Amino acid sequence: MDPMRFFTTARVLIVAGKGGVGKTTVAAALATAAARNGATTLLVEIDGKTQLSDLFGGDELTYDDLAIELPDTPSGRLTAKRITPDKALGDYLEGRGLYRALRRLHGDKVLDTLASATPGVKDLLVLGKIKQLERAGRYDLIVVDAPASGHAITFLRAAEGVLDSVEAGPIREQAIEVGQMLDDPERCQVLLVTLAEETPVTELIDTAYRVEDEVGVKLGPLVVNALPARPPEVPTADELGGVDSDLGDALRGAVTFRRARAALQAEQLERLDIELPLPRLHLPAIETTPFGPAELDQLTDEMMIAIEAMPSADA
Amino acid sequence: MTNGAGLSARLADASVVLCAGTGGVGKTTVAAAIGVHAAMAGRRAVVITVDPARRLADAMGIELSNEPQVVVGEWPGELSALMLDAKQTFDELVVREAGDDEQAEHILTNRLYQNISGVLSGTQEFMANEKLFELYGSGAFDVIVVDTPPTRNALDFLEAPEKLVRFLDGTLMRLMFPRQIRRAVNAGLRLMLRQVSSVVGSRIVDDGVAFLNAFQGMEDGFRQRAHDVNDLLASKKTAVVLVTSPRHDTVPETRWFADQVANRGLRVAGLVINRTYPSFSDRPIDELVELWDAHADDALASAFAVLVDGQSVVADEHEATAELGVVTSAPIVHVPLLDRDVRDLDSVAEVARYLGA
Repeated sequence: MDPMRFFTTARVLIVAGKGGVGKTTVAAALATAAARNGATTLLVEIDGKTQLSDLFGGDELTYDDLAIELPDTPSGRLTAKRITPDKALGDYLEGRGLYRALRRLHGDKVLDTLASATPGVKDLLVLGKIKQLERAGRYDLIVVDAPASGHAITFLRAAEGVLDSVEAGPIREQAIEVGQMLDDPERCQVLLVTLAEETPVTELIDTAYRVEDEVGVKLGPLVVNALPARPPEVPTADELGGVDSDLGDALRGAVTFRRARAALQAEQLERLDIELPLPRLHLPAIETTPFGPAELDQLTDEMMIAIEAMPSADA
Repeated sequence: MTNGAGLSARLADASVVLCAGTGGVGKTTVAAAIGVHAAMAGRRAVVITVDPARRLADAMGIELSNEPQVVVGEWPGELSALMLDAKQTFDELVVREAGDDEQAEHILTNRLYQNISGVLSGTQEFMANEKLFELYGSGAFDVIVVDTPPTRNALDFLEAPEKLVRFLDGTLMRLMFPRQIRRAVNAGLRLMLRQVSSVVGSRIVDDGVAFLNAFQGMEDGFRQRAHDVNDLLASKKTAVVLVTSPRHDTVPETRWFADQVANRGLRVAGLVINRTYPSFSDRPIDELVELWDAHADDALASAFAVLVDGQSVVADEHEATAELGVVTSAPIVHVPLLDRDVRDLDSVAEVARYLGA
């Protein structure tokens, strides 16, 4: 698939997945790949403590825009920021002339009070800010590093939850507008990330159905992360004839183990073929840790290859 | 280096075991293995999971529900498992604590209650506590193993009782409690309520007042409950097992959580480093790389590539986990990555053996 077409399928891509599957690195690689391809891109961090700043080798993200410089890419193509509910609330109420009055009365207790009274309001405020950025049209693409999957569903259902309990007022309007964004596949899609392993795949399938059934957001391609290279055949006794016996055992053991793991992974990919037939982006394992800017660069290249290898959506 | 016997000894007298760790490290598997381990030691064990992925159920070969289900296996003790249903547990708690059926009915049908009991963050953690305490009080089990939510929420799990007390004593409660509003007619508070209504609409405020009104008289029971759970978690009867993966990105979170646990005076029984990559050679990696070079053009080249790659993963993991030894003086146990997925009782039992069973 033509990469630029992929990056303009929807204006907001929400990247979600179980903890430990590399959701944040995938989000960063997607945003970087989009920027390299000429899309003006915003990468949004939501969770309190993530590795995005390590990935780019720079400062902690804040609510203010942070320009990320990429090699061979014009300045301003990639921006990153962190959206927190309290900042989003301040922004939102200020825009409606309500904040000063509330603040004068009770300082920072406002959000806590609102949040206790209205489940989902914090997530809604974050989604509302994303919607505002999407509407403003400054970015071709907004990539969101969503909360880990169980919480991703709660996060995405925030608008609906608020609509159930709030019958009027600006928060309800906000919820309606966020709901419209989530329902429109040209405005917003969810990319689920998994490893080719039993538990993450089981959770992915569960999350995928809930995202479509309960939230109604369109699912983009699945991202299968950290796929190891195809393992070789176990060396034969003949081949091992010339090496010390401890080394022969080590070689046989290492390859046999790797093949057993690979067979488990192949089984999981087959499961996905049957239980969740969506287009997939396969990313190879990048073993080096810690994961820094050089590794992100490598993953971004792999992301491009995977996108180009993916069949077109209308094929 | 790995000390399953040490962990095993420290779990032998625990009445409550909390398995805590960041997402994706295999907490649920370790919790199940601790349960199996206890049953093998002749104890009556129950495992509570909050993991909705049904993995524990599949591994145990049972249908999980909000009540303990017996897991059949060959051990001298007993093993049961349950999957927490936060909403149902909350409902049962309301029914039990309510003065009469009418009060319970008022709460259960309140819109605000229906919202918060299902989705409010923290509810699940509080209800896991509640379930733990209920099972503890039943006397039917020698040990209750809790598969807590992922780290940051695991802290919520530990803080849930305090939070409830703070909520009961807090602003919102006072604000919305009609009795207290009558007592302290405070124009500022009323104005605040009106302001809140202007943002979220008045229905939510009305629902809130109705909810807290219905709740009247029950807060002392809840408060007592919260204190009791807190006492149990802080007591010598409770042991924490920290679970981590051997990777650079999860170790800092484990360190952080270990500090939090220590600050709360909880007893750490052990640290499980889960899914470590197996080592296949004692030779130094530099030597293996040289040998690989020497075989670069023959049939063993690709096998050497796999061996060197695996041994570098081992070295990387070793480096990432080296600092964990200073985090806690508790025994450290390595559970290797197996050549099969942990999805049946046999493989859970295999993990249990690494824990010292």
